[in-house]
Amino acid sequence: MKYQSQKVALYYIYGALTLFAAQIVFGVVAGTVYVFPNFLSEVLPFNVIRMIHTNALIVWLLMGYFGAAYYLLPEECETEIHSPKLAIIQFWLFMAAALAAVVCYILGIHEGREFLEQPLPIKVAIVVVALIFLYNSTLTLLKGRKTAISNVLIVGLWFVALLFLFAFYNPANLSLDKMYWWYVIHLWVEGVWELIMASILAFLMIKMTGVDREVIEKWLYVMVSLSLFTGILGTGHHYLWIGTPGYWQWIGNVFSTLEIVPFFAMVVFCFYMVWKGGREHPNKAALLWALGCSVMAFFGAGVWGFMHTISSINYYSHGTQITAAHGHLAFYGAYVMLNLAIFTYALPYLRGRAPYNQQLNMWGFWITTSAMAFMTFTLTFAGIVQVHLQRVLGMAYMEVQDQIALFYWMRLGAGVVVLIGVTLIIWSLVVVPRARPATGAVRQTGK
Amino acid sequence: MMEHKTVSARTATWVWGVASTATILALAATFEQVPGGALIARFLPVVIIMAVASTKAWLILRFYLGLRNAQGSWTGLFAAFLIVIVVGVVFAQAAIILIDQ
Amino acid sequence: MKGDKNTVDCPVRDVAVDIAAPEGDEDTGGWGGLEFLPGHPLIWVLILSELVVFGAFLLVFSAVRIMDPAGFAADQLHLSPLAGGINTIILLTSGLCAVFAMRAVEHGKLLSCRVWLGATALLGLVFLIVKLLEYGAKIDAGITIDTSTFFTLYFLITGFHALHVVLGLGILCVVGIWPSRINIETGTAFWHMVDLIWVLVFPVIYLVR
Repeated sequence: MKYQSQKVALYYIYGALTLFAAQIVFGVVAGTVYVFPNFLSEVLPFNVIRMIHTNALIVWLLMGYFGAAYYLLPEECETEIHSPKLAIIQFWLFMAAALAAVVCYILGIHEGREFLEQPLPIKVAIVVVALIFLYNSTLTLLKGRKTAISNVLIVGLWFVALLFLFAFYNPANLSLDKMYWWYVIHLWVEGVWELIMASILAFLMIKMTGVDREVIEKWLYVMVSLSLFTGILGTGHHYLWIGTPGYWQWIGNVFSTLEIVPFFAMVVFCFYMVWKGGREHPNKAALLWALGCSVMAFFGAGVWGFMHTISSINYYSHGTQITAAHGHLAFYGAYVMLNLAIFTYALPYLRGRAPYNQQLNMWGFWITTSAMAFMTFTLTFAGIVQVHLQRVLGMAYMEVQDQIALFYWMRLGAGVVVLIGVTLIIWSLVVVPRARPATGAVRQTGK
Repeated sequence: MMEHKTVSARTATWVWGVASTATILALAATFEQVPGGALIARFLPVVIIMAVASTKAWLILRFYLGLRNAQGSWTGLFAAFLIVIVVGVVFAQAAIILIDQ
Repeated sequence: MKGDKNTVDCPVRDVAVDIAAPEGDEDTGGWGGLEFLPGHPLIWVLILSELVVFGAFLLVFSAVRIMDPAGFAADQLHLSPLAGGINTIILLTSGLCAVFAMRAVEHGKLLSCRVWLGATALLGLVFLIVKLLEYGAKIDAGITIDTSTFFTLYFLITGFHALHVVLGLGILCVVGIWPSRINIETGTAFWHMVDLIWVLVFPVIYLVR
């Protein structure tokens, strides 16, 4: 760690990990409701459990991005953060807003719009958080060195904030409501979040492979161009059945099919850089997360997304467990693993230590990733059976749910394993073993 | 980014002349089409039209976009792109005629 | 924080600073081969993406036509191959002007370059006017994007293309203001791509029946 103010990233990383744990716990609870439908139904209805599961995910991912930005901006810009104090205020405001949202949900106060359920005052608080961040990070960027990585990251985060403003517009017409809703949801995860992802991966590759910055920045530009080229009009694949004009079918089919390309480019990028660099970085776990992120994002977002993006297939599959399978692996592969990669990389520096708990961390990686892959398969099979019974044979929804109960059991099993894996990961990141004598550290350098 | 040599004015004008003439010929070929005629009368014009189109595209690629200076792999990639389109369109025409029969 | 910097940190950071791609390496540009094409490599990322998208649209168009050849043929009668043909020649001529603009900048003749760019853009404008007249005729005949699959795809594909012509005009203006060699090369590469796509769109939509 070169700059004192990078330390504020610690707040964000710990906050993110806390919400990560909550997200997974609520995920397991939701998975339990699928097999015991009345589980907690009096205390905590399923819709609230799901709300907390998804909202916690989004908030901790955002928190991770903020943390990543505060960690890498000083190194990229070669200057301290404009105001570390403001960054800390921003963190606590964000955390308070997140907790207030959870309390509201439990009390049944929410706006009911999927993922944007936050009551209005909390939405306003989120905007304030975003404004503080943009002010702080942009001033940092302006006073320091401008690199492709920091520029792309900050442009990405600016658009995250700007697009969120559509959350305030909720027309009464349901088609319009959904249309604007996707401006936030789709253009986040299949648009500007990919900019954030590409820039953080590029940062990690520069740091861990030793490949020339110039080469990596060129790749970054290509990946970003491809993401925007395919992702923006790819929004069309959400406009197939919500009442938008028919031409969206064609736009959606063509552009969203191509959305797999930037994810493929990221896989090639990461592996090529590691191969080209040919250096052994001491933080193997961070490298594993970065490589794993590109691969699982390619499968979860790219392949699983492509499977049901063509409208003639989506006509049958939309709103089934196939969507759930895609959603789980895409979020895990692309954005959860991305955050864990930068956390694993940054924490040893932030805490002034050699890379620690590497084995435990990597076990966490394999356990969680395998379990997520298994969950994705079970949900995919559940979805295929569901499509056939419900959409082709026309069986009733609840009747079909009984038929796929076995898959829900397996999903719950996978969820429990994920919980175990995540516990290992968080443990390996947070609990630092007592410092070894200096000789130990020196010996490590030599290997 | 390397220095590329742009085509000479004479070559560029030749390319333009050939492509424009080909366009007029393709138009003429369309008006000659007899709907519901013999097999070959429905198939051949499409082949001619697509051959003309890909020739024009190839000329633009090589001389205007400067691909003639690029490596063979680039030439191959763009050739493959044109082949896929031509084959796709011609194949569709063949399928339509066959289904009709 | 500098004080407790770990011994492990230093070599890693130095690695990141020290290693640079050696000069003369085949990977000098680091653009994976794109640097061998004229213009800025990123314009080629765009050109390749555009070709894939328009290629996909044309293949989709042909595939959908198999399902309803009679409907497509009937709808196609509303198009004017003559207008399309004229537009093809307009764009080809425009492309020729762009080549002349490129030649002019190569020889350091900025004024001549700008004049040729102006001619390029002017022809692009004529293309758009013809296009708008065509669209106007369709709308007067009560034909819209929702009329049939043929017209949905017709309006989408030619509309996307026309938008690229508009974008191309903007790019030509920008590179005309700053006419460095690389800028002109990049701008005209985009323009030739627009030309190239039209040369494929026109026969598939207007002529093949």
